[in-house]
Amino acid sequence: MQAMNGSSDVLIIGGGIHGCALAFHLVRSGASVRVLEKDYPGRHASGVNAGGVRTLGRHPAELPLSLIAKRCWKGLADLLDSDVGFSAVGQLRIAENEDELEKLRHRRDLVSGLGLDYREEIIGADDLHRMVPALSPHCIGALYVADDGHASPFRATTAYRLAAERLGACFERGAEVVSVTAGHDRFHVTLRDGRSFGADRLVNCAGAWGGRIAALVGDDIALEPNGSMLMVTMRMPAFLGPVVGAAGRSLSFKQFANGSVLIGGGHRAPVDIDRNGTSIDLMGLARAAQNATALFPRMKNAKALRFWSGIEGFTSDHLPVIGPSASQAGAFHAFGFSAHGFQLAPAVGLVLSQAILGATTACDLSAFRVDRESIRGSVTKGA
Amino acid sequence: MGHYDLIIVGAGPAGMAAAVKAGACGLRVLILDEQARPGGQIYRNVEILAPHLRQALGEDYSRGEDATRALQNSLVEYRPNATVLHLDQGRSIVWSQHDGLHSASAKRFILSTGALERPFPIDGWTLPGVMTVGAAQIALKSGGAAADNAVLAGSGPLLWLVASQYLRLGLKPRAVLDTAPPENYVQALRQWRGAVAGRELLLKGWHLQREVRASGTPVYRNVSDLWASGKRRLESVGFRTHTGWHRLDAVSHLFLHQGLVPNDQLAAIAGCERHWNSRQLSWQVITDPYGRTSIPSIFVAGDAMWIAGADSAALTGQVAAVCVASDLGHLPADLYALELERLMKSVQEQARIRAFLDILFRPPRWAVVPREEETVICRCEDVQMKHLDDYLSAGGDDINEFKSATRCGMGPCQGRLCAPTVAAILADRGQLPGGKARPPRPRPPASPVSLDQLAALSGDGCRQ
Repeated sequence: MQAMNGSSDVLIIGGGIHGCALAFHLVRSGASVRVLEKDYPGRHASGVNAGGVRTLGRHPAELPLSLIAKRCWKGLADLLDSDVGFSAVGQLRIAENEDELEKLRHRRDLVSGLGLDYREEIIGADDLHRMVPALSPHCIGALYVADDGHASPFRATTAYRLAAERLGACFERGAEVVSVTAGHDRFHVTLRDGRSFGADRLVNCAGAWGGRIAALVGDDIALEPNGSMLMVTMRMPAFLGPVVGAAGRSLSFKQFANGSVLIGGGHRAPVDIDRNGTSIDLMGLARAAQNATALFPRMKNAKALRFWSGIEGFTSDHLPVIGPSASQAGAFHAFGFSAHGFQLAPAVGLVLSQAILGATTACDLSAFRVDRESIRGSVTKGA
Repeated sequence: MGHYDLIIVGAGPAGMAAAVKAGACGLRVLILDEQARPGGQIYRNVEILAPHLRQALGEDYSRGEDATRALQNSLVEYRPNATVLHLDQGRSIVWSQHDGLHSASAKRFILSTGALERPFPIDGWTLPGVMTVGAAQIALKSGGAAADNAVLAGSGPLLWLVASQYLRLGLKPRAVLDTAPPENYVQALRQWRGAVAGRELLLKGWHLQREVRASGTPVYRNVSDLWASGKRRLESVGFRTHTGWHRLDAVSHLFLHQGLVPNDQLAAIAGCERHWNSRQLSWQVITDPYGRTSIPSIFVAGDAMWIAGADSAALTGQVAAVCVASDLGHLPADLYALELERLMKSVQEQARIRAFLDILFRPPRWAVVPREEETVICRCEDVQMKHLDDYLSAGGDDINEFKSATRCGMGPCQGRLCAPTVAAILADRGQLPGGKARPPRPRPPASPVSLDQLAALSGDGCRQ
């Protein structure tokens, strides 16, 4: 075997927030960790997403993990000894008519029936307009979670990285993985620049590139890379506390402490994962602007300053892949978060580190198995 | 959505010349311009300005009227008050007018978006009362209030031009501080061919300097380590010359200038590749000799390509137009070759002059790399020199990562006022060129757009 540039207990491919959080929890438990990042940590979706921190509206399969994450976020700044920009301003999902309110009531009942220590509550028009005076008068109610909020994506990712580095984790930038070989319980990973690294465990936290890395260890997933577009406005006088979404519209809407307003809502645009290329589809952003101005009439005169999108991987069932490889012992995955993985990162880092180190996991991960039927890739599907 | 052979962005010298040329070749041309009248920054309002102001601005300014008249008399479709927001994949363009957003597609684009003043980040440059020499000149061209008793500091032709224009209006500067280091003169002489070619221009510059000195305005040479201070607004200006430290008190206005950099924001948003130009100390769109970018349907022309002044801009505008006409089959091969040869001869002559001027007016190190750790680099987000120092000493080398980490360049100006400084500092630290540093990634829109204009693009179909 050729000389290697380094060896560690665990190699993590991908320096997004999941890779950074996992690195932190692993080194904290005593493992030696190296993170291979093809660009710089937080370069893609992890660093440039909308920063929503919510349990509100999550798929029931994600809720147990998401609730662990919620507890983590509250103490994250202290744990990492670094500002992560988290503020628990609450999240709302607005109903504009009786049908939508009925839908939200169903959601409330569904959540109550899960047996979790978690509720999403309905608030009526009066409370809603008291809470959000800038909201258009036609809105009649909302689903509400008081301890949801938002955080700063790049700061949070960086905080995990720095904390992991302080405990000895190594981050390699410009480290694009081109091949993985496995043998004798060891992985041998080669980079495009010729460097190579060895480890006992290998973790795929490669985001939109996660499908390609999964294929290198024999797992076949249908993963669609795509961009979720966002826009931010010029600073405005403070008018909004909670993060606002809508039952009948694609909208995510929040005002930051500096006064700028971030508008998203899952309006997608094509990406090029070979060239780190993103594009902007103005029609998608026009819909986002229309949704924002419909709920907040004062936004008509707001000026949009910047449009962008991060590169993210979407699975066909919109649930992530988290857990061991189905093909290669010692390999693990955490990718395919389908544009709602930011909030989950503290829990994924914790629980997956337990799984990798063979400890009891704080939460069952079977819903996110890599070999579930709903996300099988074209290769195995066709076979 | 309209369809054109060619869409030109910017109706300055390059854009106007390109439009007239392409129109004469029979192309269907649209020219979009942000201002109410053609002329760009250099000939701003030349068609309508009051005679006494025109006189003060000088002959070179009035000459712009020939170009604006040629544009107005052509068959080209000219849209003033049009702010371009996005140029997508080199195929379609979206712009904003007061009545809403418009879009059009074209087979070719020429981006003649001109230049921006290089930021001159001295200590105190963000105080009210400190502005750029270019902004001080715009005040004249807009017939607006110009300041008496101002201090002008920096180097470059515009500094002396504006000082003399102010004098002609009876507005005597308090002082002119010339920051060009003496070694620039020595090094520039090595480009003596450029000096000979540009002798007329040099003579003009010499006359301007003589005009300023003859007025009794104090002129300080070899100025360095300039600072500005004041409680709520500018009060004092300090600097060093070979005789020692100087301090001017009770200063109301300080006009700064350290030359120009290409305004290539739209080209960058469109995805045109850029590299570092060490001679002009700026990012530059990568082009072939005729202005064609890495996206074959997009050309840049004029100062947006590289800083070479109005005469050169009119030439490079025509070069791009001739290439587009040939691309689209509107110019026979022999005529194309002839035209191109004739134009490129003049372009190269201008380039020789520019090589001389670039060295003569090269900003001294202290003017682009702040010495004080608290000097502001990004005024929108209050990012200071020490933040960049910290980032670089931690091993960072990526402008975009620095932006994400500190918000440098994320404010209302979208990096126009900090990107050249950050790049110049990286160049100073050996990260450019040849180092790992990549150009910043500016994002659309190229100018802020109101949400109601944006929303109107999508019609009614937004409800799920």
